[in-house]
Amino acid sequence: MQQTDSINSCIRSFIVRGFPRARKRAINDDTLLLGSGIIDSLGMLTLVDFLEQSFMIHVCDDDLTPDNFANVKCLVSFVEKKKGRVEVLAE
Amino acid sequence: MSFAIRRVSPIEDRQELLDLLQRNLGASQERRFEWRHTRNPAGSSWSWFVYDQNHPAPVAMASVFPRRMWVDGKAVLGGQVGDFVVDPSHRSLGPALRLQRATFEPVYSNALAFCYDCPPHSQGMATFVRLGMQPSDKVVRYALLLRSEQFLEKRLGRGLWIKPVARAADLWLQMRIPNHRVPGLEICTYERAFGEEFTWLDKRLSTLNLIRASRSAQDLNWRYREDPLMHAQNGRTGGYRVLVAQRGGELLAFTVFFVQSDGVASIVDLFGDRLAEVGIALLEAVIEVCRRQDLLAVHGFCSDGSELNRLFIRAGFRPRETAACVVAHEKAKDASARFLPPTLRWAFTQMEIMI
Repeated sequence: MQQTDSINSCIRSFIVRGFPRARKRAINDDTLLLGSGIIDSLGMLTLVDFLEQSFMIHVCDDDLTPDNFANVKCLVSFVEKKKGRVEVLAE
Repeated sequence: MSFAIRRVSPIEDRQELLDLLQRNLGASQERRFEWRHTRNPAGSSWSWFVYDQNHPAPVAMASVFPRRMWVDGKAVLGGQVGDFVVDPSHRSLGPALRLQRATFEPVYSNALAFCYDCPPHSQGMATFVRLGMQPSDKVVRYALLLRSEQFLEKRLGRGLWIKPVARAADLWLQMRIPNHRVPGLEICTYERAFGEEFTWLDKRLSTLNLIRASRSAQDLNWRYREDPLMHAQNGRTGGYRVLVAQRGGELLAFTVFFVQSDGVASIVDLFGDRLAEVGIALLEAVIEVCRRQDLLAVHGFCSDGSELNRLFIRAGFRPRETAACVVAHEKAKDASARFLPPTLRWAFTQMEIMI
């Protein structure tokens, strides 16, 4: 759970730092990132780079779905899944 | 959520294609749909849908429009990527990547010698960055200011003093434009359908080392005489206007421009022989027409590799921002077998980047 929180705050602070529109509104775990103008296609590239480097995961093209990138909650669960922590989440 | 991609037909899937285009690009898509997708003299378009496998409605689409091209003096069929839209809720890059890869299929199947895309902004480069592709060239917008009042008002605000300052500035603008007279050259408006003399000029100038679109009479008539959107605008802004330069009755060069609703003229095409002298004369003729109509400015577009850069500068234009990047895809990966080696120059105008 602690690790989930740390992934969450890491992702959230990256989004707030890196994307001006995320600073203009208070984003929460459910704020839509795609389609709301917070993250555009170039922003997606930056975000993918950040996830790969910060969490040592590899994001392949098939991972780039709205399910995984819709909001902070989806991103956290995507990172956890990629890191093979699904079973820890279930506990 | 998993996505699937399928090839679609501009005839059988017309309504779904239009729905997607209209909700992403606005309402005016229907008027030019058949003209672009099925009435192109180079052939029908290829189009693809991406859809969520759990919901049958498409969420993204892309097309490739065939284009007759000249590459290093050879006539080939290329393709221009366009109508690339993704619903806002699905702009997670995955659907766009599937589509971008699909647009390479006609090249892999040898239906096209190569394809190119002209993203107008950096966001449009995202899929190419992810695929590790670099732009082959860029198209720059050039601008020539004809009237300064609106320009000054935008920067300095409205005031009584603006009018006399603008008058003085306009006089200076007028003096800044050089006047190159070419003996024996006749420049006139051309309002008929493009004739075979344009095809001959196009063939005669199928220069080595260049990549450019074909300008045969058939291509030009489709592009400039049959575009339904420009026909509809004919009464208001005049549609496409063509000026030709001739000497002793022989066609040497031509230019095509149109007037936008904001009072700015946009030069779409400038092509021909001995452009260093004839092209300048044509540009000056366009400027003269625009000045007589009290237009605000004239814009021109050309790629870095085009000889038009020098012409625009000589005619008093100034380079502004990058209007589009040109990203090309070809089958050969081996540098020695490349169809589009970096030694070739992209001679693109607005004509090549417009969909």
